Amino acid sequence: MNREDTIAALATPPGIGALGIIRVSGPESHKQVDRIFQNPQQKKIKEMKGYTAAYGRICEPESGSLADEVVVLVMHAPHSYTGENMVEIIGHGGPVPLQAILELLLDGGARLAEPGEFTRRAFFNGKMDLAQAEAVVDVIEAKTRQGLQLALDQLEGSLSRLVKASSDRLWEVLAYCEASIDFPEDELDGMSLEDFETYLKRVEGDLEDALATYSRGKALREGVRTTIIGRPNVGKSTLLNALLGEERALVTSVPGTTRDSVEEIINLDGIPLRLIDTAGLRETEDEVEKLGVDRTLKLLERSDLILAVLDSTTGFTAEDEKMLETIPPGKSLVVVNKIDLEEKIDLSRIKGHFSEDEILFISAREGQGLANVRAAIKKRIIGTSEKEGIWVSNLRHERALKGALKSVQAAREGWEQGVTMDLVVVDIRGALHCLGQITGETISQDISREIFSRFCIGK
Amino acid sequence: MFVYPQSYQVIVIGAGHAGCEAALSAAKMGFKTLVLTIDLDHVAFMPCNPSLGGPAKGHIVREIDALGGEMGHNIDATMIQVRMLNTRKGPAVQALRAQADKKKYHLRMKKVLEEESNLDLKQGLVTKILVEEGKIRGVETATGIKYLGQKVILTTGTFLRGRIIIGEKTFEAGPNQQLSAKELSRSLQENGFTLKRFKTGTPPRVLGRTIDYEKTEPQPGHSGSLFFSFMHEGREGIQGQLPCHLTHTNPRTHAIINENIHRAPLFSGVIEGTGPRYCPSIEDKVVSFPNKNSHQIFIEPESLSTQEMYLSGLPTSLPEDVQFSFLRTITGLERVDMVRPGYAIEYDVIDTRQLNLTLETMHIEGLFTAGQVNGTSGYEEAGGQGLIAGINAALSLKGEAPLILDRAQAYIGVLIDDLVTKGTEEPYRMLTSRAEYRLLLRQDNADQRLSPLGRKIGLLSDNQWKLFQEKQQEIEMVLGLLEKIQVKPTPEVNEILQEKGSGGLNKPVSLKEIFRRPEITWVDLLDLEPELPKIRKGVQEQLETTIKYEGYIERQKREIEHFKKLENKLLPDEINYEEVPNLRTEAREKLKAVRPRSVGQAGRINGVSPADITSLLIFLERKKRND
Ligand SMILES: Nc1nc2c(ncn2[C@@H]2O[C@H](COP(=O)(O)OP(=O)(O)OP(=O)(O)O)[C@@H](O)[C@H]2O)c(=O)[nH]1
Ligand SMILES: [Mg+2]
Repeated sequence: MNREDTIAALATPPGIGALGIIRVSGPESHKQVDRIFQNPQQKKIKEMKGYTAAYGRICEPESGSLADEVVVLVMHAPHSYTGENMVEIIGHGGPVPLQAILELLLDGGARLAEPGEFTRRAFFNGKMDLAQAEAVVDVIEAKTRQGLQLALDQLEGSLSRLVKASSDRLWEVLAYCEASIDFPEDELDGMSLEDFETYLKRVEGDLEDALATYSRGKALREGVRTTIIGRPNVGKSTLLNALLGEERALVTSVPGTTRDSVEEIINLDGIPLRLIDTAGLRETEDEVEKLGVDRTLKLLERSDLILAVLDSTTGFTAEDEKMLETIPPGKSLVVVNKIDLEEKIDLSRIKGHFSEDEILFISAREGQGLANVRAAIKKRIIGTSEKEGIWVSNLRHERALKGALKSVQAAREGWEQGVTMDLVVVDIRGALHCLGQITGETISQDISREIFSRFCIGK
Repeated sequence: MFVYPQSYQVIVIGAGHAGCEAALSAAKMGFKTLVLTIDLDHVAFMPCNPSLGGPAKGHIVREIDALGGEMGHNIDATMIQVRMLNTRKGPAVQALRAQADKKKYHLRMKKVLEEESNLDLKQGLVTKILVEEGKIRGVETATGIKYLGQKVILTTGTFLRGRIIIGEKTFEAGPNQQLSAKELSRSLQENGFTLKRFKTGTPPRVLGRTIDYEKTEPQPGHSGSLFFSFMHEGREGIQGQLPCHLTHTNPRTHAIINENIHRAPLFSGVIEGTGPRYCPSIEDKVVSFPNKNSHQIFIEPESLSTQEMYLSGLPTSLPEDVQFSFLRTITGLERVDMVRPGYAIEYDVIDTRQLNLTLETMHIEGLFTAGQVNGTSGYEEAGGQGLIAGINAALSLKGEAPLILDRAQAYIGVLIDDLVTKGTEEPYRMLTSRAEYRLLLRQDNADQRLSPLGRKIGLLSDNQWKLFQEKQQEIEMVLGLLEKIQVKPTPEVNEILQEKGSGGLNKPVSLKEIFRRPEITWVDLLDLEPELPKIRKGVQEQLETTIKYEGYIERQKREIEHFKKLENKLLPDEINYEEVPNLRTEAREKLKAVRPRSVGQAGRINGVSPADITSLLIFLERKKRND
């Protein structure tokens, strides 16, 4: 247990709609929050008095994109629950922004707290008496047991199969390296240095695939962010209303009707869809509208799925062209609207970018083709291929996989650049350590066992 | 019973590799020391392979040397071949390995012992340890002499109830048919020690002139200044090295072994002891890896003064006639004359969980154990433990704090921590992969890690200390220069860099930054800055490693800081684990048995979980508040 680092965790049970609190504790906690906290008074957390609060925004420090509007409560060591420097971030945006804030903190170097860790710190800093602390040990034990059950459940899932396969491969590489280091004069059969890169690349690919499912896994838990974009007047609001089954967004024949995005949740065969209608995309001088367009672009980045709407009654414009270039093809569907009217659009331009089942023809007003849209969305989210069975949905797992991936990449790149084996092994061990956080396997288990079971050693 | 008139401060039982280091360190630290050994003609004897070093083992020899031990000096003076292994696998795992002239090795070490003024070396078979009220008093020999001493260090190797097995035949004997120490085993058991049975084996020896070397592949030594002792750094390398020779077994060899496998004691149940997995007998290899058609055999010279050759890779306890016939199937050995058969030896070892990290036994105050009797294998592992046992016996006589090396300081620390905390189920061999902080436990920096400690306890000679300090000053001075000297992005500089396959500069950088590049060597730096001073190879290597590895080394240093926190949380001697709430029963029993020194060590005991450690920390914290 390390008490020198800074930890963060959600302090409220996750649930839609509740006020959420993120707790940060440790020597760097003020600095960590300052990194992502902005407020009109330019107040710095570390300069604020203990037990005072400030209102502001949590933003991604590089891009500046907004995660949530929050209230922060500042505490100084030793006058806090844990006895360390602390910050509590109170968000009101529901679980999705909270998760985003937590991720920003972890990206900045905080560590996800272990179960009971805040309380344990409180005890060791003299903030609690023994009876309380012993209760905590029980809680830790219970949590471990619970964690074990979870781990067992996971074991049956395909995530752990993948993790197991990856760690087996890494073990093989590690055993080979260690054997060749410790027994340089022995012949090692079964593997060669050429296999090395192939093995590491394979692991890298598998981990990447698993990680790619993280947003999807998360989306399933928290609602798939689906953004409708398109030129003004193509029928975006009409599409939202049609999928929703009620008149939620204002529909007029005046281009630029929707100025600010509108969000609604619909249930698509059990998949929660957070449907977002946006201001139409176009070059504009109107300040208010310009703001709306900027916001749309940011929204796109954070979307799980994009519905790009085209108007079949007008030609394919430069703005359409630009839109199709902006949106990432992997997570977009093209919806050609107003097919009840005469078709003028030339679709040859789109066909290069999108496959046939990614282009849908509808009449939002007449309700034509909506079933196809629903089916296409569903397929996009759930998928059909075998690997799609893997859903990384837990932040702890995501962190572990990311850590493992980083180490495997470092090992492979190092190897390619001629870094010596004694260093490459450090990264391979690092990767195994990360994967061990998912499987429960530790490297301290006798590595020699691996060596001797795989190779005929001994002169 | 005759009580020897001279009473000793330290008595060492056994003059193998552990015993010699133990005795020399205790004597050099100022204590009257006696060494008793079964046979004076086998002091520092190499009953198995006539070689020293290799990964992790070579590191230990360097560590022994850095602390002021003898092993490095002895091998440097008597080696007939030396190689640097793992040169391409990185500085952390590079290691020296030498072929010793085993006769010279023994003779030189014996002489060093004899010449040590505080030390008496005598022949005698110890049958009993003398214990009074839980304290060691001395030992008794088979010829009826009582030697009294304040500390006793037991380094009896494989002699405890030693039993040699060749095929269907078994004899009570130590290695090389010496006397077996039977009574002593009983004496230990009577004093409450739990013993285990281990087994190891050695290959047949053959006559050199009957080998057809033409058919084998010579394995020459490496030239250059390659020495184990830091005192010999920069000396001219040894001359006239002898090669080893490589050959292989083949399907015919394996067929003979398979046909006679029912006569192999390993499989017929004659052998009970647990053998080492890293040094399997040839019959074991043939059975366990049936798809492997050939195994390597290294033919190693035993000494300049004999024709006897050691066949590394071929330990066996098959009957002598089987050994004879399979040997002659091997390429180059078709006409070979076997002069000594291979054999297996079974022996008693102490369960090391009965020891403290000082290597003193928990049961008997003043009794230390070290070496193969502790269940390790290898001369180097033995030497390392012997040294620590000798030092701690001496420090305890002085009333000073013991020397305990931790896992981040030395391979010797890893070795002893593993033995004492986890025990071992097979003969324990040191591997670099057992060390968590391998990048820091290098053979090139063993002096930096340990010589100040060796000096502090009064073991490191004035000479070696002076050399050490000079080297450190040189390292610091040159490091300062490399940091200070800026290289400007001139066309000439960039041309030189490009010649070395390195990218050009676009702004001035320090020489140190350039040295960080993997492709740049010290010699390349001289091209860029001819004014750099001439420095020793040892200094160059160390600079290169610390600079090029800096990132990784820093990472391990951070891990070590974390590790030290729990390591420095000491558990009081009088702690009563029955009083610690919430411990699981298994953990409680293990903690009571091992009696770890620190919370960190407690965490490494098999069967103690992180939740147990939290309970332990809470208990300690409560005690602190109550006091
Ligand atoms: N014929 C026909 N008209 C449609 C269809 N969908 C939308 N419209 C009409 O197109 C006009 C614009 O519709 P909206 O849904 O407001 O369009 P929008 O894309 O949200 O426009 P802005 O919010 O202004 O960017 C309205 O008059 C709709 O009735 C359709 O499928 N067929
Ligand atoms: Mg609209």
